[in-house]
Amino acid sequence: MIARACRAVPSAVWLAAALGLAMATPGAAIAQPAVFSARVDVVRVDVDVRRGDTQVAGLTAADFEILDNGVRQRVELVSATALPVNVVLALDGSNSLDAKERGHLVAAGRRVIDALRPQETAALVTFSDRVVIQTPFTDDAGRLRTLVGASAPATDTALYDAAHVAMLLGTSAPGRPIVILFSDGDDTASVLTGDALLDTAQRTGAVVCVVTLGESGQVLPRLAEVTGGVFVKETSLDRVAARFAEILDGFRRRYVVSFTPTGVAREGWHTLSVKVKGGGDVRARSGYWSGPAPTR
Amino acid sequence: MVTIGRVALVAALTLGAALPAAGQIDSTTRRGVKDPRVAAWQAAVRTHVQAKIDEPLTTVAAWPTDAFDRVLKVVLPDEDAAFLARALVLHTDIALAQRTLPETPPPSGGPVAVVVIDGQRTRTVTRSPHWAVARRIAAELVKQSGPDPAAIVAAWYRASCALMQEWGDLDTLEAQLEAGVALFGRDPVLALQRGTLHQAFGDARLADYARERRALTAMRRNGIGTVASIGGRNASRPDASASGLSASRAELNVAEREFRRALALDPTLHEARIRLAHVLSQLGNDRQAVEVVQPAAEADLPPFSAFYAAMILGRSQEHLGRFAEAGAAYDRAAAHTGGAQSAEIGRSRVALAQGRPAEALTIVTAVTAQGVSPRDDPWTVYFRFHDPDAETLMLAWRERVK
Repeated sequence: MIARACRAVPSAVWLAAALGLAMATPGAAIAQPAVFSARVDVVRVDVDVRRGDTQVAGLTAADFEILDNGVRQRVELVSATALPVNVVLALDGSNSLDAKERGHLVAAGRRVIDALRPQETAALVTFSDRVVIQTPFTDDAGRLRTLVGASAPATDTALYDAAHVAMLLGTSAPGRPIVILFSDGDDTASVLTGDALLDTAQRTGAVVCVVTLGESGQVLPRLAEVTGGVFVKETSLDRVAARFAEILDGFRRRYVVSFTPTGVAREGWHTLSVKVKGGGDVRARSGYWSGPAPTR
Repeated sequence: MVTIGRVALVAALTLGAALPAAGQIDSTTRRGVKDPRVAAWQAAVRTHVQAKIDEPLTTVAAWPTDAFDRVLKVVLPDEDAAFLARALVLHTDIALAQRTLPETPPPSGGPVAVVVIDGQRTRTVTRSPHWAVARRIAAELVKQSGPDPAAIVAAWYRASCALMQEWGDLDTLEAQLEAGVALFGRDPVLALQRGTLHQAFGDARLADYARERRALTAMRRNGIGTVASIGGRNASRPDASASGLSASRAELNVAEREFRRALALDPTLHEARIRLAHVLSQLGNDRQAVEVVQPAAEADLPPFSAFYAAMILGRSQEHLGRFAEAGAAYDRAAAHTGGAQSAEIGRSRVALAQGRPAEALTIVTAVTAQGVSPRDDPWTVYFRFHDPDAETLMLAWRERVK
């Protein structure tokens, strides 16, 4: 059961056709930096709509109401099938997991990889006291399956740093980025604070879904909330594979809506409010930045 | 003075922990108490070679924990500074050997420490009882006349405490620091080390353990002798986050106080300045953290301190929204370490906040891609290391007792 830590967050976003995204060549390693801009011309928003525990299907653009800084926008529905899903798996490699637990985590990662459809890609980030991009986005399932089981455990958990890297990586490919982040506890070693991480979340477009085991503090539920993701607190690692699959499946069935911001100042923070006619729990990003943060 | 022939000593040591029979030793009677270990111990003190795993060391190391109480009571008050300094060396070397060498494990029944990895208690281990023995010797040595004994003991406390901090052996360190500060209440380095201990207890890696420690202390204070074992990470602890946070803040408050004291005692102690700024930032006072750390960031410091100062300045400037200043500080931190991941992640954060997401991605890709050589990142060990480090301090102490 996915915890409703981020229920009914009126939010959403993401960029832009204007991003000029130039990464994520299937099967390729990072060869050159992605080219994208902080300028927002078209805002795209992944929206999850539920009534009870059921995702609501069959909605049209007319069913959505989006307010950008309080100003109603003209909403269009984007065909989700036109936008491939790009999954960033960000997995805890700290040695607080024993061998059996690590086996469960590897199996969970492979379950996501095996579930990828044509056109969909995945990237893999592992973290302990340092963060490693094991592979950028690729559709090479064999390589992904190997790498997900290959990371060497180490001490400590630079969880926030890893989430920062994963979110940046998520925006490096055209399509719909989702970060599936797993940790068996809270951050212990990052240079980034929780506030800095949440700021990264507001400046990048990935939906972050967090699966944790044990204590997780306040930051991870908030991270899921501001990105329109979900926060799942599990009690056993042998259930994580099912949670990962559930998250990916649910993400595919979300709506993608877009709008061109109208009647609002271009620069700065834009708070989003997303509602649907007929009600329901709506989960989407809380807003987006356009341009640099103001310097104090 | 008890005397023992060197041949007799060697013969006894060859037999391992076998004790010399009373009749084989010409004098084992002091204050009406016969104990063959007294003479054997004195001989071991005189013949042990500093920093060597030799027979005197291995023999005394094998004695049961309770053997030293009588020996020290009988011998220490009558010995001179030179002998006491040698005794301090012997027991320090035994403690070091028992920490690091599998062939000289600490005896059972010694103090127990909890091993916490990545915030989780993993096991308990037995620690050497010889630090406590050495502290008793140090307490006698410091009473001796002349400046040297006090200087030797102060240097010993600084070095051993730095070493324990480096090991992460914080329970042992706490007892060591308590004794050190009792003798040298105005020593700025010991105040710095005490602050660092509490900074470590306030660290997320140890927050849960610190909370349990405080609860245990409170229960003991209230006369409750035992504490139910704390469950694993899946145990139901509904208030863990809140009380863990509160425990962390309490530890950081103590750390702040100690760092301020260290700086008051020695305003040139830049490491205390940097750590104070770090703690202030963790407590949400970034404006003051910037003021405190700025002089250290501008000083010509060794690489570890220079990196640490730049990182703390960068973080606090970033929290204050001064991204240009933060970026400059992270650039300096990266330069000090040849591009440590922590500094580069800081740089990427600033690039993102300044509206350059592509640059932010390029920066992190360069230091996190598979195949990139991991560089030593001092950020991951700031709560364990001092500058100068334990090895340097230990060598300085050994030079002093030569």
